[in-house]
Amino acid sequence: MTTVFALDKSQNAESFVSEAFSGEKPEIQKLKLDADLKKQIKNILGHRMRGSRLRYWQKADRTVWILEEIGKTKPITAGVVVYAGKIEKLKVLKFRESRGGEIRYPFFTDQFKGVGLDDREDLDKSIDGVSGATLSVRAMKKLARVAIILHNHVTNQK
Amino acid sequence: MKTYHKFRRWHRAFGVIASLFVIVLVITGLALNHTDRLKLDQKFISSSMLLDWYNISLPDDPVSFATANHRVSLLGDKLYFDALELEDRPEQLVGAIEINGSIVVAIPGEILLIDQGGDLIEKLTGAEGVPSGMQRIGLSPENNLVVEAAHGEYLADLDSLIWDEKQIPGTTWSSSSAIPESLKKTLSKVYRGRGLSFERFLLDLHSGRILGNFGVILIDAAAVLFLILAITGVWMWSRARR
Repeated sequence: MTTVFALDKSQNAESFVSEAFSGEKPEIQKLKLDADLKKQIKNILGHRMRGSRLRYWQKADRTVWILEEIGKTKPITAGVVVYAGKIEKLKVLKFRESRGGEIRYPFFTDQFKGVGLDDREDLDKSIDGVSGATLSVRAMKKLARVAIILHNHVTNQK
Repeated sequence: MKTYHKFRRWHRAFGVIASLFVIVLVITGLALNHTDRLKLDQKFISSSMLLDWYNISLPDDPVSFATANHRVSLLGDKLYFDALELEDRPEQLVGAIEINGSIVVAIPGEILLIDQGGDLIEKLTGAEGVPSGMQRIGLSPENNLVVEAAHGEYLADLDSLIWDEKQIPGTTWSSSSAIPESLKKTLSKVYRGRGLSFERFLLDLHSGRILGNFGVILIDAAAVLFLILAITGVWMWSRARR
C-alpha cells in the first residue's frame, strides 16, 4: 500500500508545507468552522469564507494554512506558516490575476515575517503596498490576519 | 451676418441631434463612474430581448453528471449544483458522485465536497493530496471515492485524506448524461439571467458597441458633432459680443 500525496498546482503547496516542518510533515488536521470563527473571518475578509471546514498542518506551536482570497477578480492561493502567533513565512502559491504579480516576490512577502495581530485583530506592523497591485496586497494582508486568527483558535483550544 | 445665421441654423439642428447622444452618454457615464458603489457588475439584465440580442443562450455541449439525489452540470465555465450556480469556474467537469450524504465533485486539480443544500463543505487541492490529471471518479463497492488520474488509480479516504494507489475492481464510474428537459429549462433561465451584467450593458451603450461596429462609428460621429457644436458655439458667442 502506497500513501501518495499526488501533486498538482501544489507541487508548490506540498513543498511549502514540508519545508515549514523541515521535511517532517505532520498529519493533516481538520478544522470545522463554527459560527464565531466564521463571523471573525467574515469581518476580516468582508465576505463569508466558502466552506465549513478547513485543513491545516500542526506540530507543536507551528501551523500551516493554505488559503485563498480574490485579488481583483481571481483567487490568489497563499501558504502561511504561523509560529507562536506570529507569521513565520508567507508565500504566494498560485497567482491567477493578469496584473499585480509582483506580490509573489520576497521583497513583498518578507514584510510579513514576525508580524502578529494587535488588539483590534489588525496586523501589528504596517505592510508596504506595491503600486498597481493594491487589491492583491489587500488580499494578502487579509489572508495573513485570517491565518493568525485560525492559528490562535487551534492552538488555544488544545 | 449671412454666415452667422447659417451657423446658427446648423448649430440648432446639430444641437437637437446631439442632445439625444448627450442624454445617453451622461446617464451611462454617471452610472459607470460609480460602478463599484452601485454594484453594477453584480446586477444582471433579465430582459429576454436584450439577452437574445447578445446571443446569450445555453452552450451546445453541457457536461452533466447525475448523483444519487442531485445533478452537477458545467455550462460554459459555470458550474451548477442542480439549478444552483456555484462560485467555481472550472474549465472541465470530471465527474460527480455522492458519498455518505456529501456530493463529491471533481474538477481539474480540485475536489469539491458539497452538502445536500449545495453549500461547499471544503475544497481539496493538490496540497491535500488530490491526484493530478484526474480523468474520472467513481464509487468503490465499499462506498469510497476512487480517482483515476494521470499516474494511476487511487482509493481515497476523504476523512483522513489518504490516497492509496491501487486498482479497485467493481468501481462504479461516474459518467455524464443528458440533462433532463425540466432542469434544462430552469438552467437556461438561470444561466441567461447571469449572462449580462448591467456594467457590460452600460459600457456597450456608452461606447456604442451594443450596435456592433456601426454603433462605434455612430458614437465617433457624435463626438465629431460635439466638436462642431463647441466650435460653432464659441464662434457665434464671439461674433455676438462684437
